[in-house]
Amino acid sequence: MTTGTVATEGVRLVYRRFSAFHRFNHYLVMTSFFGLVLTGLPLKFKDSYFSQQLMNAIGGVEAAGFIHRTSAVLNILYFVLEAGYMAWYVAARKGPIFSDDSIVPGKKDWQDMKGMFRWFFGRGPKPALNRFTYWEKFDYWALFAGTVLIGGSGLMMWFPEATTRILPGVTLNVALVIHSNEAFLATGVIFIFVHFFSAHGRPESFPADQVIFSGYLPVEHYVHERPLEYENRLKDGTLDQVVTLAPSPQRRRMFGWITAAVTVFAFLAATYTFLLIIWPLVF
Amino acid sequence: MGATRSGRSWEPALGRRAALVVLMAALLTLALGGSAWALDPEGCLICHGDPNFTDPTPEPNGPTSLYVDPEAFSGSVHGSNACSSCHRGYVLTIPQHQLDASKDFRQVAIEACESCHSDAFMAYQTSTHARLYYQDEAGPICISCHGSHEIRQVRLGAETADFKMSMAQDSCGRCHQDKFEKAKHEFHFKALSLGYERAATCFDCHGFHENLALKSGEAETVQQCRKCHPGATEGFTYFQMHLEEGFENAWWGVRAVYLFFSTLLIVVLVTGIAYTTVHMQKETRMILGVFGRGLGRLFGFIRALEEESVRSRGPGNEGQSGLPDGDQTGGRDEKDGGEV
Repeated sequence: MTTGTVATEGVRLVYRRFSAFHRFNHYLVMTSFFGLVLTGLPLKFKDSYFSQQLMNAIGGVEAAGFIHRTSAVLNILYFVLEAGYMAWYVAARKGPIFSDDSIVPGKKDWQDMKGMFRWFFGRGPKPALNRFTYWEKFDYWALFAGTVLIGGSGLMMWFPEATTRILPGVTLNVALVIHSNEAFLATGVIFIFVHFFSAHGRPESFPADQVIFSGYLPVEHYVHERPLEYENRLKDGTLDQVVTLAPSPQRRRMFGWITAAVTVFAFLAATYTFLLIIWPLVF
Repeated sequence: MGATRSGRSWEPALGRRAALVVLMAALLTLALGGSAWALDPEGCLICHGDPNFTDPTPEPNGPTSLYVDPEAFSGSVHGSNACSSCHRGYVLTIPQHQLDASKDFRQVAIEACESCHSDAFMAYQTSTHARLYYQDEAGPICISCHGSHEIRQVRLGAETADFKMSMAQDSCGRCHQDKFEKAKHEFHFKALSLGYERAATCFDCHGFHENLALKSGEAETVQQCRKCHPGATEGFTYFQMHLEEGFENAWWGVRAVYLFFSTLLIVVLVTGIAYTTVHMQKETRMILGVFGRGLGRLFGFIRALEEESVRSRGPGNEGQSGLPDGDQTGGRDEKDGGEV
């Protein structure tokens, strides 16, 4: 056990899970998503008291539109970067595509999900999870696919004249329906139910998983969270590719503050969004 | 004037009485608000400013109110006009005005508006509203939309979102309520109701006085869309407006997409909530913890009752099979309780 012996010598080791590129993309999609939701949802739920308040706070519909479009550009940038990375990954054969530790869903995910459900109801042990769990893959691909739908329909409505020069005007009706429904769905999945809970809210990472902000995870957590990846890497002897020395205390403190700030903001934004949606249903 | 000829004996009395009434009312009005006289040089509001002032002529639906809200009038764009600048052909005699009964009041009203607002009147002449009016005199005239005494100050191009919204609701929406109810869900109105004054309301597309019908694909419609969307072409006009919230009256494709995505939304969110709840419960044992403990107690209580009934029945009959069953459930309960 390499890690065990090293850890006892008093050296702090970390598992590097995300590269600077992936972290940058998460920052990008995170900020733009907040911007999009907070300026878009008030339009969908215009009768909500909180919508009016939010619009006034932002500085009116025109300002909200500007923020929405700016965030949309950033969101599209995320999509272009991620798609470019995918293409490069495949073209340059940077790594496995259809193996169990890639982001592409496979048979293992289906088995993991069944195993997790058995575990939920006390009918079996917790399955040994690999590098990416099935809920992380769902998050990743749902966001990617959602960006195509929401981004595509949003661009159509941003440039309605150009769109209707090629397509009939009723396309914009369809675009509006897709944009509005998909955006609400994405907000629900990210803010309220799936992403915030499954990626950040689990006991291992509560209240926020720092790994996506700093890129690293203490090795002890890694062994506990991704037992299968750890085991495989131990077998293949590739553990040294991902395990490195911990960053300096200053950097660690900086990442701690970033995570804390994002967490507080995300919590407030999610609460506000929840109230905004619930308000017209209650009153 | 007819009164003067009918007899000398009461003529001075009437004059004196009328003068007295006018004087007292004037004093009262001046005492209540000195500015009223300045706005009402002819003194019409002395009588018409009284909320209980009605037409004594018997009417089937009760007396007609002749009240004019002085504040609403002075606040209106016509606030500094004299009453007689619109109300022409009236001979000011008290207590009753001599009316030219040969003219319909609606015609008088239109003529009064036309004398200053001839451009608006010409635009109105070509509209569906005017056609309805000239057909059976039931169609809307100027005052149907603009109101009569409380005409609001409008500065074209500088309307507030609230004003545009209230125009749509109170003026157009008074007759076209169904259209307004549908338009409310449309993004132009959503932006308007959130305070975006540049978003289009009824008259921005349909015109102020022309009230164009605007059918998809017509040149006229393209022209109207281009007022805000300069690059609009014919295809642009096939965007469907005035749709119901559930898209019942939309093209079937829109409705199909709406139903598909609404179903997807519900399925994903309900599955997501259920999954997250179960996952969290397993990891933290918080959500069902209290509830689970209560269930454990309930099962324990039932088991105790069963044991009691078995014991009272005495040994021998079914006691053997009943007791181990009870024990088994008891064991499971305790395990559940422990987990909680």
